[in-house]
Amino acid sequence: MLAYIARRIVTLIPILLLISLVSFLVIQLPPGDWVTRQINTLKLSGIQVDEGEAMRLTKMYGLDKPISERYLTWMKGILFDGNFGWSFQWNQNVNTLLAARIPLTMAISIAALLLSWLISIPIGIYSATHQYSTWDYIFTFIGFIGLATPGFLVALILAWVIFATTGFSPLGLNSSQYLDAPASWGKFIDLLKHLILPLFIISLSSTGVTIRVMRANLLDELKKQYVITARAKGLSELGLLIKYPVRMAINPIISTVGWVLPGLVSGEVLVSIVLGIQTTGPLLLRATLEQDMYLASSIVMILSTLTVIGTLISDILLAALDPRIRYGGTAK
Amino acid sequence: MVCATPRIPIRDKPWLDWSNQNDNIMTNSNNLFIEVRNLQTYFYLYEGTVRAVDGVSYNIEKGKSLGVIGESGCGKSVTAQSIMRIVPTPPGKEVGGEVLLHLQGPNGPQIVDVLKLKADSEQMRAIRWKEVGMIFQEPMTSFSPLFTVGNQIIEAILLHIPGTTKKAARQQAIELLGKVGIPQPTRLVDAYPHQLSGGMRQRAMIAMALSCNPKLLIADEPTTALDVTIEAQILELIRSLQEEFGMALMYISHDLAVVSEMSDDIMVMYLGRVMEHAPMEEMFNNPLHPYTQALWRSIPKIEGPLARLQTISGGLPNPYLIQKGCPFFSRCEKRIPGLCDGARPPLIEVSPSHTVSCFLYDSQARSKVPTEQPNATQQSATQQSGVS
Amino acid sequence: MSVQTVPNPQEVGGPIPQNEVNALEQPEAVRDERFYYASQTELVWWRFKKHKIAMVASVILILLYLSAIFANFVAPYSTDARWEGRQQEPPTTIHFYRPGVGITGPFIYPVSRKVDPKTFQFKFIPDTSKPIPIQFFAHGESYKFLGLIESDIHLFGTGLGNEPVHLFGTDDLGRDLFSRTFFGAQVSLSIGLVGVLVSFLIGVSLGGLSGYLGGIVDEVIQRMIDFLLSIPTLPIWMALSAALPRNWSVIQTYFAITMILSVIGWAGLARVVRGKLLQLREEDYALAAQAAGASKWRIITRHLLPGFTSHLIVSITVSIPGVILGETALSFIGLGMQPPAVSWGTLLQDAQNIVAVAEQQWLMIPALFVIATVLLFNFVGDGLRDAADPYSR
Repeated sequence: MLAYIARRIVTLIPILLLISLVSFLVIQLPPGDWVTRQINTLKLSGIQVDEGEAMRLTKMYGLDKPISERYLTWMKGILFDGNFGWSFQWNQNVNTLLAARIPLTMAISIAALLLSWLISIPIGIYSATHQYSTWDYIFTFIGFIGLATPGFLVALILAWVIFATTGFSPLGLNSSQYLDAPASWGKFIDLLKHLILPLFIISLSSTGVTIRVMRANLLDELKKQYVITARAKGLSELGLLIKYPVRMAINPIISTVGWVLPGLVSGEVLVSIVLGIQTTGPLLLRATLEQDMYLASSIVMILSTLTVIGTLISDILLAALDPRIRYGGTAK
Repeated sequence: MVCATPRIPIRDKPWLDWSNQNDNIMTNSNNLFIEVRNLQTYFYLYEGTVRAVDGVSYNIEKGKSLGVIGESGCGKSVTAQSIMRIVPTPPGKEVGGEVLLHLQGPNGPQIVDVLKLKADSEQMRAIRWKEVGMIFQEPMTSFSPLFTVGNQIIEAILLHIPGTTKKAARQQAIELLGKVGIPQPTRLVDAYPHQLSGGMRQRAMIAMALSCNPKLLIADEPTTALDVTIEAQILELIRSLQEEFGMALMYISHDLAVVSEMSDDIMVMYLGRVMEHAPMEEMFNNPLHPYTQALWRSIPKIEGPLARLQTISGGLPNPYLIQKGCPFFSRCEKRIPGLCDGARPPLIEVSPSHTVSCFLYDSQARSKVPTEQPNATQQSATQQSGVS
Repeated sequence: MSVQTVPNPQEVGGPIPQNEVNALEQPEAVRDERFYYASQTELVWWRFKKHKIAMVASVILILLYLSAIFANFVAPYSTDARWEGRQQEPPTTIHFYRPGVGITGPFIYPVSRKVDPKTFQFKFIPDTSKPIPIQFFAHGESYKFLGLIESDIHLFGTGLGNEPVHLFGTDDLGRDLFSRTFFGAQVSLSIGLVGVLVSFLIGVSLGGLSGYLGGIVDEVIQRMIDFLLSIPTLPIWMALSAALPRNWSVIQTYFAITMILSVIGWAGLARVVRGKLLQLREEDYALAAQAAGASKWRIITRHLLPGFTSHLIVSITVSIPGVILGETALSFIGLGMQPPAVSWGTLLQDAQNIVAVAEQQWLMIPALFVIATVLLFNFVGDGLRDAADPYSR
């Protein structure tokens, strides 16, 4: 088991390096940089900018150095000082900007994942054991809609419906009266109210996926010989169902985390932009538009890294649950 | 064979009472354990209805063994699954007949028709494993990979033998594993199925099947997935355990040699029907049904001159079709057109222990066949004229 | 022929003539027999036809694509036609009943805009005295049908330039949302197909390369796929699209966005393709063909591809909505297609402000089109998946 974890962590290192490289390069792709963009904006509004001043700014931010050098400097800062660089746009350290937002993005994504499991696993079990029943069709259809419906459009529609019917604006994290208020019970309730909609919306597609996967897996498992053995042994249907096939069918759900989690994080970013939730989403949008490169690169990199680590954790969990992987690691 | 080993008192669960259905069942032998009468199990599939078992009857006495033989898809496994009511429903369903088990009830002997019990009822579950144990074909998948072999054996013991402590059950599981020849049973009781070889797994499966002292052990092609050398060991094991535990045995296989080794009686099945049923010696020395004869001819012989092995021409007919006549008609070398394809051949008792389902032995029916067949070919027509 | 007096059961019968075997088959068996001889394609098609929802969905999808191709004809107006004084107009009501006259063909009442003195909102007051009939195949703005034939016939219209019909209402600039939705469909629907095609080409060539060369190339490509699948795509998409120069033409942006969506999106397809191929290659029938001396090409084309095409089609079908959604999402947040280009995403930019949407609900109509399209593709993909799996019921 320990060897398995160690092996997985070792394979993680090149992926993390690749993530950092891609995150950095992708942001550097647009021609020009933050300074030239600012100067262009100033010029467009008719203000003359001193060329020497521009040169000075470029030099100050280190934007005159070649990309490779900038990347190495940035990485060195992250690895040795935990310093993700400077945000030009906010004139702040990236670390302070992200300190509150990254945990919020990850917390919402993971909470959405757990919520979707809570809803979909029982539904999947019911659907598989009552295959082709009316409720199976209804659940399959609902799951299907959830899977296929784009979260950000649902966010848009639901936000409007809620606003139009109740007058409550589900945008942002807190209603305006609580924005600058000190922490209080009322503020917390208000926060929860604002979190319900995004949580529900972000978990939609994952719920749809999981209902499907759970139903299909369980249907597969129900046909297996060991289920017939258990039935022949005289176990009750419910007892054998939970002990044998359900346990087996849940394992692949855990292994889907690897591709569900990236989707959840993407969904969170987009839904936050739509609903104006102060997580990484709106920040990243502005940063990419303004070529605030260290901020944008850091967000892309941290989100990707955390996603990959989440996948690793799910793999380890899977190994802990499945003796075939736990011992030897040969099975599938 | 009388059961030698002392049995744990059977009915200690007071809620198990089958007395309500005993009234009109006649029993003809004290020594019988199971009587199957005209069992019909159908599968309702999208492509059509498959009559997997279509009117099968047989008895097994306590301590005796019955070999069931037939090609794949002839319904031999479904016959066995119907006894335990573990036919997957839907699409399968036991639609007719009786499966009578002669059980030891709380107030003396009782006869239970398991087809009258609900498949998921507590009574039915109490019969499974306790009265009828089963070994399956696929040792690879008959254990759940997530639990140790011991866990799955102990589960059965705890379920059916009330009052057993977990510790005692574990001890019993270890003893059983030792009995079926698993080395270091104290250690391997905690092994996961994937850590055992196929042969070892099948031994563990046998140990599990024996864990509740069943009175009937059904072995559904237990050696098909194993190597020949291991096959011999497993067969020997099953036979010796059958004797030791005094169980009745229903041995299902497509392998003639294996069945002849294992069985007192042999039943030959084809497309869900019994073709012939006779004691083992009789069946081999005097096969009557053309299908049995053809099967026998396809066995390689060690003695005598070398000759090409004979095969049975043609293939299985479409299983979705309902055969009006004899299911073997299309492949039969001795068929009588106009008779065999028009009606189901009756079960004819050639001798008290030997029955065959073929018109060839029904002189009454054959006498009614018209001399000339208008549609038959020249050759068969002339031969038929000779027959009648 | 010898005549035997004693019937000997062992000698009755004879070889079975073929015509007799056939005569055994009963007429009601014909339906069942077809399952035995049908080709894979026929089986898939029969199963798919049984899937009612998928059949209906594919018909609607085909209609949607046709209306996008012929948007010039379906839409009564062009994308940039504006009606002064008709901004923020709600969808025009189509009437079929006129008091005093009875049921007639479809017609509309001309409206005039007033400003509500209390709420300062626009009010559109119909003039019931002058009904304007809706004409089918009405004359309107001229356009080039399929870019070739000059025409001014539209599917419907009033035939009057100053009394328009706005089925989905108008936007802040007084442009017809119905027309813009169908022109937007051209970008949004086609980008799904083009994007998946590009993904598919990248995926299959890299997947094939990976399988063919094996070794280090396979390893590198596999790691690349793993990598692309393990990271959240949206932030990368955002970063890449932000890199697009704002002064690019609509066509340039269109292809750039397609490339961005495909460069990330190919990994999923490639993994499915490679995984399925590897699985099929290990199937006994492939090994049997190999043992029988079939060439590699023959094994791939005769034995692997037939079992594989259906899965490929399914994978492609279910990938299309992802690309459509990608474009919509990027355009919606302002990083994809840029106005004046029209796509469902750019149309939805107007719907970002929920206060505005609360007043002008019709701005959400393009969202319904996106959701419907994505659902329809999923229904079709689902039907195909069920149909393609020979072991499904």
